[in-house]
Amino acid sequence: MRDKLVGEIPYLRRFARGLARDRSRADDLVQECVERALTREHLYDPSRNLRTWLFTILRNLYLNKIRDERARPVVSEAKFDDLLAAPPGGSQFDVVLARQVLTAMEALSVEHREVLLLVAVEGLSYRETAEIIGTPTGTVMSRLARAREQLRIQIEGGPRSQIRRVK
Amino acid sequence: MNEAEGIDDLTLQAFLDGELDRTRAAEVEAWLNAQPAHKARLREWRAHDQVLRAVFDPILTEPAPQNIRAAAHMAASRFFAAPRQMLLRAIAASLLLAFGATAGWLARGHFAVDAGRGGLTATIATRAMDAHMVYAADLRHPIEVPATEHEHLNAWLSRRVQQHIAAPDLASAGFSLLGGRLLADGGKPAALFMYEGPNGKRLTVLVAQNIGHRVADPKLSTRDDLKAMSWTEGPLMVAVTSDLGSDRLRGIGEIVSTSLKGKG
Repeated sequence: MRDKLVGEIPYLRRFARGLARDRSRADDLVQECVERALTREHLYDPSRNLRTWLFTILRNLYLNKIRDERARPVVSEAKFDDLLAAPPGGSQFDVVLARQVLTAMEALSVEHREVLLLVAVEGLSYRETAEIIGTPTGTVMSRLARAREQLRIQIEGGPRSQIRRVK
Repeated sequence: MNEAEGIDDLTLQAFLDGELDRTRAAEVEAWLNAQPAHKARLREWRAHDQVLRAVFDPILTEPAPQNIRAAAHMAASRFFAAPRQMLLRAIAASLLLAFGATAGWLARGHFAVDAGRGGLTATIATRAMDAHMVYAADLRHPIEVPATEHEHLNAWLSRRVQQHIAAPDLASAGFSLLGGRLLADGGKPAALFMYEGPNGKRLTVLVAQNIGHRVADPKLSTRDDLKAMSWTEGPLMVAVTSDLGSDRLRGIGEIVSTSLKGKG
């Protein structure tokens, strides 16, 4: 587990950034997650995917953190800004669209944002995602659809999207 | 909208995410060719997913900051640079044969934690919390010997721990004894008593031999929601673990202490 853990750090950092948005907050979460995973190694079932186990720990840490913060006077909401500070090179990358997508991501609730991150960015299956967030697969699917539609409506804007919305 | 074909938003999305089997995916694809509006919507979803990946993927190749590498590295070196702990692990492994797989699994947990730091009560508290996490969460087999075999339970655990031990009566605090089990605690047999309170809340009392009769005052340790009250009681080391408030736990600790004094 310890050998493999180091290889999971990049994925933990990516998921943490999507959750916490701010870089240093995200990295603090990853550090805590690594420490916790090592002291709880005995709770790790080797037949289980290491990444989903680690993601579960990381997500719980994040949820505890925002719950604690809500109890206190709130600090201003973190933004994804620094992700756009150095946009990846290449003409394929549309900075305007990227900014729109990230702004729309910031507007999503945690429960919608996390499923979109796990499926679209981390490439996990619905089943793995359900395991991490502790819900049935059906809940993952409906939250994901909701997240994608909210993103689409906010980026497209206007009534055209409203009309086309199914359900 | 598309009830006739059974293709709704969730199906369309499952198609995008590669969650459909081949036959169903082909059906959706054929259907989409006649549905330009849905096809366009699908294209937008896909485009947004691609943007998200383009934005987040570069994080994968960033060098991890020092604090994270230190966390991973420090724990690893603590583990490998401690031959004494390796020896203890070997002892634990042999005890595994005697005490069954679950006890061995627990023993692994003991040695994953640095047992050399934080004093006597801190280490027993850590082990007590590990034991609580493993066994109190087990709804079906939390114990080996049930409270209905009270006499046998006390006699058996006293013999194995080589100290006279009787399960404390915590009825006055609203907790009833479920039973007990034998643990491999730091390479020595220890007794774990399991109690259940209102709403199925679990409380455990770990009793181990106090080798060398060291003395430690009651100390409260916490780990997330769990709290452990630990101290030495003459020839015994004791830890009471639950997710109660610290005042409640301290009160129960006093009952346990009085009870063990009376019988020990």
